[in-house]
Amino acid sequence: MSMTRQDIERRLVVERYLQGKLTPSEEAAFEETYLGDPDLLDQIELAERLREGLGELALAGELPRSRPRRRLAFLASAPYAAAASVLLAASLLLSTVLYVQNAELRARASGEIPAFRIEPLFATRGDGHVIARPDEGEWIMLMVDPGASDYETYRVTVRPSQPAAAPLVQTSGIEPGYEEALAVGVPGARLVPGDYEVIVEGDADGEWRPVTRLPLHVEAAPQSSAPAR
Amino acid sequence: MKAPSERDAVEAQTSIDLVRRIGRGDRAAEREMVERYGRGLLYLLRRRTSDPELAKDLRQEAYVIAIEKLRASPIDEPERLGAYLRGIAINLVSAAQRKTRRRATSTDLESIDAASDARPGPGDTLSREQIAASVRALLDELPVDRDREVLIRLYLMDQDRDRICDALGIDASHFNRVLFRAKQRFKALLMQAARRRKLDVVS
Repeated sequence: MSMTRQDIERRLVVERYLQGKLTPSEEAAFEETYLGDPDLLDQIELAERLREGLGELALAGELPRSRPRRRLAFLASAPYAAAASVLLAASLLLSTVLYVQNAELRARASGEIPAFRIEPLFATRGDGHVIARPDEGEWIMLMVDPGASDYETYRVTVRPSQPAAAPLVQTSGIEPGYEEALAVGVPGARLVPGDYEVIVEGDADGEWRPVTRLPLHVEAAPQSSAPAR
Repeated sequence: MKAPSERDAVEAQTSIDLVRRIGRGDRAAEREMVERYGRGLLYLLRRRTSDPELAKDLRQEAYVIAIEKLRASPIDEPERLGAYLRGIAINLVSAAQRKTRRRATSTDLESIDAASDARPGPGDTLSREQIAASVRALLDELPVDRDREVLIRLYLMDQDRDRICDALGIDASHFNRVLFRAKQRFKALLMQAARRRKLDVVS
């Protein structure tokens, strides 16, 4: 049986349909309803475009921060900073998994979004972070933890660790996104196996101040990710 | 927009009328059916197959099957022609997923495609960059951070309404207002972008 417009709006059916959260009977009723209803189809496609656009902005690191940044003095002490880092690492990992799942679903639905892989980089990983060599055409989205620093914007540079090597990527004006991570896209084709460093600097009124340097190793073995070397 | 009961009654009556006329061999009714359900059927098939080309093929096939059957005999619930077409489409998706052989058909497939795609959806003619730019403009226009957060949590993080309201300390009516206004504004931004694109193409 078809759904009424009132039901659809009250129960947020369009959004739940796009999220894949309708029950099979709700889904059947909704599909039967929109099949011959161009106004409703407009609403669905509008919501879908909104999802796609937000996904694009998230990939480009252009989304606003999820909450105001607050700097609490007691976090500056070493024990709290360590505890906060662990919590940040855990929550960043969880949000990254959810983000990847969402992105994969969108990619399957549209068939248009290029392949990409998200790799979180934490200051708490010890000696470094190891990733498998990306496929041809794949993008690596590094989600870099800026630690306890509190700049409005950052610059992130990815370069081979050999002295005087030219940077692969240098992106300025990055604002911390969800979970305060800095998102930086690197074309997979440029990440050949080897050692790299990810240099994070904060913008102090036009002057770049060092924040952290995180080692990154790209290995040839076909594995998705390893925790630490 | 019509009231729900009126809309349902009109839909049911149109459906009964189409089924009856197609059963009598009325080709204009077949074309009306294709126009009426074409876009929705293609959307459903694209969503279920994740393959725009396959979805187009399956839509043609769905129409061929439906028209042949409706010409031969009426269906059980003529007031639910949409549900009938949906059933055929979903069976075809299942069959395609089992990699069954495609049927050869004698119906005018090109005219089905042409009739089905008469009305584009919002943003259909825009690139991904243009859509992203419209979303960026929408976020910039929202007056408070919390409203942006509503959209991001709903459309990007796939959170449900209750959770979003809890997290942001807002009630359902505020949530609905933000969503309604944001979608209205986004629609206007997409239309502006489409007009600009059209002007660029012309000039």
